[in-house]
Amino acid sequence: MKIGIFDLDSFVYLPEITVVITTLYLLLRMVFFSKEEESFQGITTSIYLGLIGLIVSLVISLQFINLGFVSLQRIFSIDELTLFLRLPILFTGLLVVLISADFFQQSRYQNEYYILLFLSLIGTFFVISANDLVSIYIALELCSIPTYILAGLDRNNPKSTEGAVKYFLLGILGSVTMLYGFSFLYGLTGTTNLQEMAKKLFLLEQPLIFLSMSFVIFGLGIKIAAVPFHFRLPDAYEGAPTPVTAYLSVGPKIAGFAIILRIFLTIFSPFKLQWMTIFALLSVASMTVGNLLALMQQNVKRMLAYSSIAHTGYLLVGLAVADRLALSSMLFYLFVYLFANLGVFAIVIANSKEGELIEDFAGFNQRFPFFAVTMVFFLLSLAGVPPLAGFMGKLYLFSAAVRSGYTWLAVVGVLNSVFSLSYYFKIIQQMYSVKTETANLTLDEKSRAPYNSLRGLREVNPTVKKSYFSPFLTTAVVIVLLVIIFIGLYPSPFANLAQEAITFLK
Amino acid sequence: MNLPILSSIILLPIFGVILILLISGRKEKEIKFVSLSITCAVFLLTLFVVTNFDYRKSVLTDSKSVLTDSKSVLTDSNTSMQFVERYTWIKNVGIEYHLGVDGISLPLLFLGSLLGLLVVVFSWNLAYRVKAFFILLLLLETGALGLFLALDFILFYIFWEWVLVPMYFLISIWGGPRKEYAALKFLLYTLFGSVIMLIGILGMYFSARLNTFSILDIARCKFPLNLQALFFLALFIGFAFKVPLFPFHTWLPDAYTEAPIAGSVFLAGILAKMGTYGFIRIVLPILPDALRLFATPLAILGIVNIVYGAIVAMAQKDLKRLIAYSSLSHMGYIILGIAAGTVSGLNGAVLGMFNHGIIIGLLFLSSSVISERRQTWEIKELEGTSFWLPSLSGILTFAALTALGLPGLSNFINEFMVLLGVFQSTWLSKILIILVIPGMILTIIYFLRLIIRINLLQLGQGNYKGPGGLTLREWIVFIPLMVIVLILGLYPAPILNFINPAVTSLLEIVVK
Repeated sequence: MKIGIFDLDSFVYLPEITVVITTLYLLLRMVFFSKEEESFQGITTSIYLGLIGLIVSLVISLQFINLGFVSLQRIFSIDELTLFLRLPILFTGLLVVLISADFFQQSRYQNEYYILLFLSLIGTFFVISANDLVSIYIALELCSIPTYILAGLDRNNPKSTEGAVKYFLLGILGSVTMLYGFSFLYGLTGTTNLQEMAKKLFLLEQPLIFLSMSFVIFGLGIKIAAVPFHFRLPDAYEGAPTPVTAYLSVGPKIAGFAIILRIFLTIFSPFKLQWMTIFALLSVASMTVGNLLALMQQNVKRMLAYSSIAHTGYLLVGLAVADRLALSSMLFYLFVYLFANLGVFAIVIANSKEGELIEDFAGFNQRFPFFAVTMVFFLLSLAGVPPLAGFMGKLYLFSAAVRSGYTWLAVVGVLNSVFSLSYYFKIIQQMYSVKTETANLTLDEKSRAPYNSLRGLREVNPTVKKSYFSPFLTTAVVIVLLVIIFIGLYPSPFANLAQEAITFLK
Repeated sequence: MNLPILSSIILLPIFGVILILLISGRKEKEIKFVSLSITCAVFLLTLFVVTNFDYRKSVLTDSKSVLTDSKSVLTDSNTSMQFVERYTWIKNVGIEYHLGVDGISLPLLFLGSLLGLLVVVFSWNLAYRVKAFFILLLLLETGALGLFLALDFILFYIFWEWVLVPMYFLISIWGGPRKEYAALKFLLYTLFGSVIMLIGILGMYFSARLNTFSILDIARCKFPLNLQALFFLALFIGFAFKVPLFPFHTWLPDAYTEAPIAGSVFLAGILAKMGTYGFIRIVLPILPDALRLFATPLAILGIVNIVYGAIVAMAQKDLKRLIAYSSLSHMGYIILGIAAGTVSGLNGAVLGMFNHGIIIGLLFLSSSVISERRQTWEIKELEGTSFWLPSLSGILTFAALTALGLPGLSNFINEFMVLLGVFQSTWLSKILIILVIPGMILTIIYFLRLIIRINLLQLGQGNYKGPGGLTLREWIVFIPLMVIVLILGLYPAPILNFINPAVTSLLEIVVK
């Protein structure tokens, strides 16, 4: 396709190329800066450069969506799905970089962290356009391998190392199983291109394909953190540095769902009925188990790990129903989920000096009143309370389920959403409780003094200093807040984008 | 009339929230002044709607259309909606921003804006986290008033859940000793009900196949009975948790008693009406056959509410809990009136919703002033309060007499109309009326006991603090409520003029 003098075919990968160049430049900076020169200023410049690269890439991606440009389906295929999924990945990258800046300020591994993060982002980028079993595998590994190192970045913390090893073993198990499944497919058809394979697989014997499908589901189930493939994941989430946890809860999930969309709707489409049932079961299991276990956690990061498992369950509703509306709703929900989830992690980072337990959030409102309010918004959006973005996501998703006769799945989903509120509100309750001198207050109150409007006269004035945070974290929080309110009030443009993304299904 | 008056009613409090956010938290006077002027403006706008509401319109247009097209009378309830604002919101799924007011929602709109204003006046002396408190009150007002104006299911649902979060914070920050527990219980229980309701709404949306969430448009399709029954059950769970009805009421005593008094007034005065309003606005026109099918169980639940609420109220030692259970008991009458499905039953129900809001406001507010002065909520320690606080005790006595159904005061009329409605009802057994009688007797007993203890018994031991009379601010709160009770008790026609035409035209659908 030509527009003016530009041959657009070579520009298709411009967003990817931008991020790759940014990453390489950051890598070079790290190599050429000696440790002495590596001042705080240098790091900040790196962060700015990374952000600029991501923003440029985002702007280009948005342009491409408007053009509606689609290339042929080769090893990589730039189609509507790719065009759409670039946005969540770039937003994830942007937000994770923004929330990392404060957290890693004193860390020795700052440069390494940003480079590994960008490498994983590149991997995710290629996952969403990969259209060939080989390219899918390689891209997925590029997405995963840096995350194993990232999870263990906090070397002095035994939990981090332990979690990283577990995450590594589990991730490798998933990749290898998936690869084993792929090998059957290649052996049966002699090709690795998804479209050609789909044409040939229609004619072939079924048990072997079904077996390979099971392997693929096992492997991808680990990537998207679905129950029962979730074991040991929360350990990794808990041990990893918080920004890494934030990335782990979103990045691999986008990659996993992108691959599922590509593979299951092409080569495994003859088994649609079977995999719909499997995904329905996984969905119910993930929602229920994720929420139940989240309720029992004392550590916020662990709780959010289980919450992210539960959200995988909601997302799987889209695959269990698997019509156009449901799949586009799933993409929309993925988009909405990443914002609220990263927002919550931003606040957890803001509180990281106090600790990571739920009790450590006590009195958070006095330290950061603005962050406390935004945290309420983020948690409510995750739980799906109107009029925030999470509600619209769930509305689309569950209405798709009801429309296709999966009312039972929608009922399980909404009940789980209510259930999830009970642990999200544990954090909110802590944030708005008064941290100091509560003991005196409760003793006084036990005598059942009048608790009417004048009760407030017994005010407690804790002298807590308000800490200062760099503009990075605040920017991330404000972006997320604006996005979830805007999408909640006016979801149409984003829902339309998600619907167009599904048109790659011919 | 092209001014978006209803939108302004909803958006003004949000505007107020933004204003308050811009004010420093230390400038408490300014914050209170802003919220007062905002709620005042909302009330004035509501008054404007009331005075410009053409209550003859629905009757006239209906009778006109009888001559032209007999079909449209039964189905077209659009005609009775006034001040309509309708804009497309989310196009591809048919969600609209659709507001309108009719004779059923108008009294509730008036009630909501009046109580919203009075609660702000009443909370004037608050000193703890003032900024957050008034922000939450204004948010609550937006949600509560928006619900009564919404004519689109998704908008309805959004307002339905909107109120939960501010109410959660009101209870959990300014509440009593077990505030966190009560707040979370309230939130989870009502949310549980409302998501089931959402499934019901989605079911109706997809069964109607109109690609619209408009309540009025969906009311035009006739669902088969089995579907209606399913939708009814789903919606019923949502509404029953909110009202609350007997087996779903367990959050009520905790939330009502632990909430700060402003929260209790909002909970009992406005939020409880959302459930019964939902029955009238949604169930009656859309699922009439299901209502007929489930009328007797619904009526029995209403009666259980009346009797159970009264029995438990008898046993209370805490004045606030007593009022909470009396509210539970009174909501039963409204459900009974809806189940009767007759003109007088429904008139009684809507009038009852309005009257109950006024009375429960009066009860909660006056008793809170008393308990503030006496430093206790224990009824035993409040004995002989009238010797210290004659005017306050007088107001509480007045409220209690109204609540027990003394003829000449407002509550008597709606309870009488409800019972009349049950008697006229074609599908309810008349034996049910007999079952209500114990509830009525018990109500009289526990309120009379309260009156006797406060007014006639000798002064007990206890603390006493503050002025013996009422401050000007308190008079400003109590007088409008008492005047309304008196006027509606003697001459309810002004409000029935609004309610009756709307109810009548609504019932034509059901009877058909």
